Amino acid sequence: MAALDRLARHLGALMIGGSLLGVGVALAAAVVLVALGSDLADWRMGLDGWWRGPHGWLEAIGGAGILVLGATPVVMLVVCGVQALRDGRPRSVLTVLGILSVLAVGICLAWISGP
Amino acid sequence: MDFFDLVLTAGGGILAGLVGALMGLGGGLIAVPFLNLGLGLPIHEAAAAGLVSTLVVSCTAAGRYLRQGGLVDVYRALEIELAAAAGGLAGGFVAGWLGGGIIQGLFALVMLYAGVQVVRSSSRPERPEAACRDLARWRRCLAGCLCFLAGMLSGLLGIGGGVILVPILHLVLCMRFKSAAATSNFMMGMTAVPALCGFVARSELVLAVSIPLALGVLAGASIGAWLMPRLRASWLKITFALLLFATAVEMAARALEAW
Repeated sequence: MAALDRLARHLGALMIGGSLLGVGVALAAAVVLVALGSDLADWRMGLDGWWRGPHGWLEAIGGAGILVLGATPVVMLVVCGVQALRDGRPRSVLTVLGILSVLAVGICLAWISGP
Repeated sequence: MDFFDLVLTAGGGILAGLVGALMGLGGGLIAVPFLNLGLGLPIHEAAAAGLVSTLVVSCTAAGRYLRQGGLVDVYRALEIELAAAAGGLAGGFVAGWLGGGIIQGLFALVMLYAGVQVVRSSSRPERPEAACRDLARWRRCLAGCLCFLAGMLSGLLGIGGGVILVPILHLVLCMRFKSAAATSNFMMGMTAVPALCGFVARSELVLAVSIPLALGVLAGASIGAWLMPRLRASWLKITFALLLFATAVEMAARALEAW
C-alpha cells in the first residue's frame, strides 16, 4: 500500500493531464471546424469512423481527443496493475486483468453489433 | 450546429459541473436532463454525452484526490470495480433495447432518490470506521452486487453512479464519507469507458455535443470546488434538492407522454 501511495501522485497527474489533453485537443478541433463553417450536426463517433465531413482530418483529431480521454482511466488501470504485481497482490492483478477484459469484451461486442 | 450552440452546450456543462462539485455528484445527473429537456437531444444521445462528462469529472476530481493522498482507497476500489465495469458494459448495450420513455422514467426515479439523499445527508452522522474494520464476506458480496447495479444505471442513464456508489462504499464497505466520495470519483471513469462501447456501436455519441459539454463540466467543477467553502451548505442542499425534484417530475411527465 505504501508503494501505491507513493505512486498516487503520479497517477493523479496522469489522470489530470490525460483529461486536459483529451478535452483540449477535441475542443481545439471543434472550434476550428466551426470557424471553417462545418456543419457539425452529424459529427458522431461510430465504428465506421467519425471523419466523414469535408474537413475529415480535423474531425479525426477531435475524435482522437475523446479517445485520449477514454484511454486515460485505462492507462491508469494498467499502472495500478503493474504496481499491484510489484506489491505482491495477485488478487488485485487479476481484478485489473478482469476489468481490462470487460473493456475488451465491450469493444468486441461493439464491433460485432455495429454497422 | 453553430458557435452559439457550442457555447450554449458548454454553458449547460458549466452548470452541471458547478452543481455536481457543490453537491458531490457527477455531472451526468444535471447534464443529461439539460441536454434532453433543455436542448431537445434524444435521451440516448444525451446519455452518451453524459458519460463523456462523467469521464472528465472522474479524471480531474480523482486526479486531485490521488495527489492529496490518503483519500482514495485504490485496492478497495479495484475489488468492486470489476462488478461496476461489467454493469456499465451491460447498461450501455441494454440502453439500445429500451425506448426513450423507459430511460426517462428510470432517470426520474434516480433523480428522486438523489434528491432524498441530498436532503438526508446533512443530518446523517458519519459511520465510525472502526464499526466494521474486518469486512465480512457478505458485505463484499453485497457491495459487488450493488456495484453491478450502479454500473448498469451508469450505462443506461449516462450518469457517474456516484449517487449509488458513495452509499455503498460508506455504508456497506464502511469507508469514511470523504474517502467514499473520493473513491467513487476514482471508479466512475473506469465504469464509463465500457459503458460507452454500446453507445459508440449505435453511433449515439455526438461529438459536437460531448466536446463542449466536457469543457463546460471541467470549468464548472473547478469553479464549484472554489465556491464550495464560501457558500452555506444547507441553502445549497435545499436548492439542489428542489431542482432535482422538479426535474424528476418533468422527466416523468415526458416518460408518460412517450408511453
